[in-house]
Parts: sequence; C-alpha cells; structure tokens
Amino acid sequence: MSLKQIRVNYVARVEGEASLDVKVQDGRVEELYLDVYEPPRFFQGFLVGRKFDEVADTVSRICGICPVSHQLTSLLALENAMGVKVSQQTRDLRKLLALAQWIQSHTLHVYMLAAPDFLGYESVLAMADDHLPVVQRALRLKKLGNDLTDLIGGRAVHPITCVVGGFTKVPSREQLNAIRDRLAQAKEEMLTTVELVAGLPLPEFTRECEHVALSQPDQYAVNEGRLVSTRGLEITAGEYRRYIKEKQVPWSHALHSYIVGRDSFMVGPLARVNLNFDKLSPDARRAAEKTGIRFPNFNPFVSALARAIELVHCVDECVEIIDRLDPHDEEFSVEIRPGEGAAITEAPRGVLYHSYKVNAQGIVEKADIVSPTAHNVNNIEKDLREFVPKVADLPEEEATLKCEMAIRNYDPCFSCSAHFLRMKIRHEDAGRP
Amino acid sequence: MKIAILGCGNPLVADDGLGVEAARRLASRGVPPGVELIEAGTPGLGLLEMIAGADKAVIIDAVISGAAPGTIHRFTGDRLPKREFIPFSLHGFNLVDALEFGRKVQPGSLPREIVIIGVEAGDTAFGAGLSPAVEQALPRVIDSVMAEIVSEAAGDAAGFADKPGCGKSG
Repeated sequence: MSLKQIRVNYVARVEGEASLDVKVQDGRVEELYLDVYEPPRFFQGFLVGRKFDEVADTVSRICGICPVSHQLTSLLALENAMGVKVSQQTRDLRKLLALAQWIQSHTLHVYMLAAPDFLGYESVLAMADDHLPVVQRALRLKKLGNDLTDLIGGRAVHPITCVVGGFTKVPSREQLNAIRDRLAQAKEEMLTTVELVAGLPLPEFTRECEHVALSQPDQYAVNEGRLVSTRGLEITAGEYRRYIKEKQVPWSHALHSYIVGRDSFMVGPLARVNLNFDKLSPDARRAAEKTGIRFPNFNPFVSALARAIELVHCVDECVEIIDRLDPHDEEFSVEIRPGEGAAITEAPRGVLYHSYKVNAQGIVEKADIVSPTAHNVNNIEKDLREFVPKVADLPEEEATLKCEMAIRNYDPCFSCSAHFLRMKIRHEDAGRP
Repeated sequence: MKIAILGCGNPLVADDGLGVEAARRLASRGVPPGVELIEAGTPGLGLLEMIAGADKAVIIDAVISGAAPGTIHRFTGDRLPKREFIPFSLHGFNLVDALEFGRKVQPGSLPREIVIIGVEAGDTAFGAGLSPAVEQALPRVIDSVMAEIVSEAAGDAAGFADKPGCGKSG
C-alpha cells in the first residue's frame, strides 16, 4: 500500500494549506505527516532591498488576521538594528495596538472556530441558526478590537500611524475616553466568554511539552520581555537564533522549530497563561480560577480557554493604559544607522520573531521572520502522534474532526485549509481486513 | 446617500492586489463627497464593519472563473459570485462567506445595494505587481466603479459625479 497522498498547495491570502496522513498499526501511529505550506518564508527575500520605512506595511500583508503583530515586531526589530529609542507613550500605544489585535483574533477564534467545533457545528454559519445572540456578541467584540486598532493605528486592517520611532498621529483624550467606556462595558461579555468556553466539552488530553512565551516581571508581556519556558529557557531576542533552530522535514514545506538540545515546543495563549498567570489582571485570574481548570495546564485543548481568559485581561489592561496615558503629539526623527537587530513579540498565536540587517542607506540587507505557526508546527505533529491513538477507533469522520480540532487548538495560520483537512487513517491491525 | 468603495486583496500576491491598486488610483483621482474609499486589504469578516451603515457598497476583488484575465464581471448582493470564484480566504471566510454571514447575522447593517466588481485574475503566484492583462483592465475597472457611483447620483443634484472630492483612504 502506498502512503503517497495527493497534495494541493497553493497560496490563499498568504495562508497555507495543510493535509494530514496517518498510518496506524495495531493501535500505534506508524507514520504521521502533517504537510504544511508556510508562505512567510518567502517574505524574507522579498524584504531585502526595501527601505526600512517600507518594511512595516509590507510585513503587515503577511497575514490578514494579525497584520499589527508583524508590523509592530518589524518596527521593534528595525529600531533595535538602528539604535532608535522610543517614548513611553509610543510603548503604551503599541501595547494597546497589540492588545486590540488579540481582541480581534481571539474573539474570532473562540467564537468562529473553536465554539462550532466543540458544539458540533460544521461552521459558525451553521451555529448561527441556533445561537444567533452568541454569534452577534462575537461580532460586537471583534468590532471593538477593530475600532481600537483603527483609533490607535489609523486604519482597522493594515494600520498606518505606527512607524519607526513613534506615532505620526496620536488619538485625542476624548477619542480614548469613548473607546475606554466601550472596553469597560465589554468586560461582562469577556467574562461570559470565559464561562462559555469553560462549559464546552474540552477533550481530556495532556502532553507535557515545553511551553515558551515572553515574560516581564511587572506586566503581562506582549511587546517586550525575555523569552522564557517551562523548562528554564531565558533569553533575549538577540540570543534567539542561538537557542531556537529549524530543520527541514521531507513531507512539509514548513520548517520544524526546536530548542537546541531539546525538542519541539508550544507557543501561544496557553503557554502565556501558564508562564505568566500571576501577571494577568486580578479579574482575569479570578475568572480562570472560577472555571476550576488549573494552570499551568498541559492540555492543548485548554488553549481556547486561555484565549478567553486573555480577553478579560485585554480589556482590563487597555482600560488601565488609557487611564494612564496623557495623549500628546510627539516630535521624533530617525537617524539612519547601519546595524542588525531582532525583536520578539507575542502575536495572538504566540511568539513572533523578526530580525533585520540594515545598511548605512537604511536598506534591508537581511531579514528573518519566524511566525507563531512556524514555531508550533513541529509541536502540533507531536500532539497528534500522542492524540491519534486515542481517537483512531472512532468512526472516520469523528476521528478526522478530533484531529482537526487538535490542530486548531493552535489557531494556526493554515486553519482555513485545516477546515478542509484531508486525512486518512490507515488501519493495518493484524485482525482487521 | 452614502457609498462605500472597497478595494480588496493582497498587493503581495500578484493580481490579487488589483482591488487595492484600484482603490489607490481612485484615491489619487478623487471621488465625490459622500463616497468613502477604503483600501480594505484582506479584511475577512472585517468587511462587514467596513460596509456597515452605507447605502451602497461597491467591492473590487479578484475572481477566478475561467474567463480571460482582465475580464470584468459585475455581481450583486442578490447574485453573488460562486464561492469558488473568490479564490482567497482568511480562515475560511472569503468575500462571499462574509457577505452571506452578514446577511444571516446582522442583516440590518448591510447596505441596501451591494455590487461586486470582480476582475479575472491571471497571475496568482506570490510576488508584487499585476499581470499585463489585469494592468490593462484597470482603467476600465475604475470606469466601472465610477459608473456605479454616477448611477446612484443620477437622482441627486446634477454634476455630482463631476465634482472631485477628497475620498478617505483607509
């Protein structure tokens, strides 16, 4: 029997496709291939030769779901490369932008992707028939994230005001107050979201892999901090390439990330909540504790709950930042200096790494980008290796759905295709026909 | 009468960038007052927020239906293109899905008239820049969009479409 499988890889809004091929023999996984097409790799060559101030808009096109994350990370890395310092206001506004992105992305995932999965609907469109108010709540919350992005970034999808050195336009106190009120009002709905997800039938499955996230001593790390792990990793962005490497596997276009001397690892909301639980806002912590689900938690299906918990934190921290801000236009200028610099941020889906080498004319000579999904692919495969035997005896349709869900825990940037995951489970048990 | 014009697509994926390019060209030539020009990029469900509150939405996007590259199709809210014609999607939500989703979940906020100017894509490989066929079609695409605006303005004061305004990009 050939293990070969038809593969169709094509660029869809620069997200990739995935297919899964599994061979199970006597209840054991003999072979498992998760084939992923990971387009961001191409961007690196694409960025070379561009001027530093064109990079942010270009990388914001890498992904339509988290354009802000790529934009912010590129700005931070370029600033590190050119030795540019930014003001506290810029850092605050950037954190607001990043959190706005989390609100959009997490809402989309929790309500549009995870909830239909766990409730047994084919899609959110089908779910809307029975749960219209829930879906409408999702759109309301997502809109809040979009409007906050629009206010801080000057545009809802691919922001334009955040540039190397600072912000070209700063929102007014009145504008900030208006969105602050909406954020505060959304708090109840975020808490409801935690209850909703905690009430979903999350499969029991624990695999204690290494979890990796940014961490800061005094706040829930998003754009700054050191990269830490549940197994003692603690590095700066500049040290990243010494500790985190990638290898090719013959069956996938995605490289497999691993920590030198160790193995695959998980990045994303669950890793963040596990590593930074005590930095969550008090209400986010209380909401988490009320669910009865304990952290640190190594069930990847709890990722959906981690997103919901982070949604509570997002509104709390956004309100806190807005209250602290004294918004005013700032003058800044950028001196072009040659250099190399890296930055790590927490995109909605986890650790995002950018690094650039810029020459004396401000032209990019080298670029390196590793997206959260690129970090996670290796780990998704490892999850599946342990998870498949638990579901292999289920009817094929159900087993396939469970595997898709195990992949969607990571909200990978190939979810759109994972929704149409082509999967074959080959039973080669001795007693079977 | 509020009209929203949306240019959708990814400028880094060859002809998929035609919607954004059309929006940029419309912005530089100017659109009449009351017309909001939005460089929508790849908005996914965010599309619904961009068109909410408008009386009419004109959406420019790439389609793949098998016609010659550069062919201009006109679809409407009552007659959406086949889902497969819109080749690009975000998390499974492409233009058609987003509109159908909006119709189901928040019908009240959808424009009363939705027109999709679908332009047949030739090259959909990764890389910036439009193929020659689509590049040549762009002036006609822009004429088609302007015709949608003018047809709406017909009932309004004369000369509406001749007054260049400052369209908001973004």
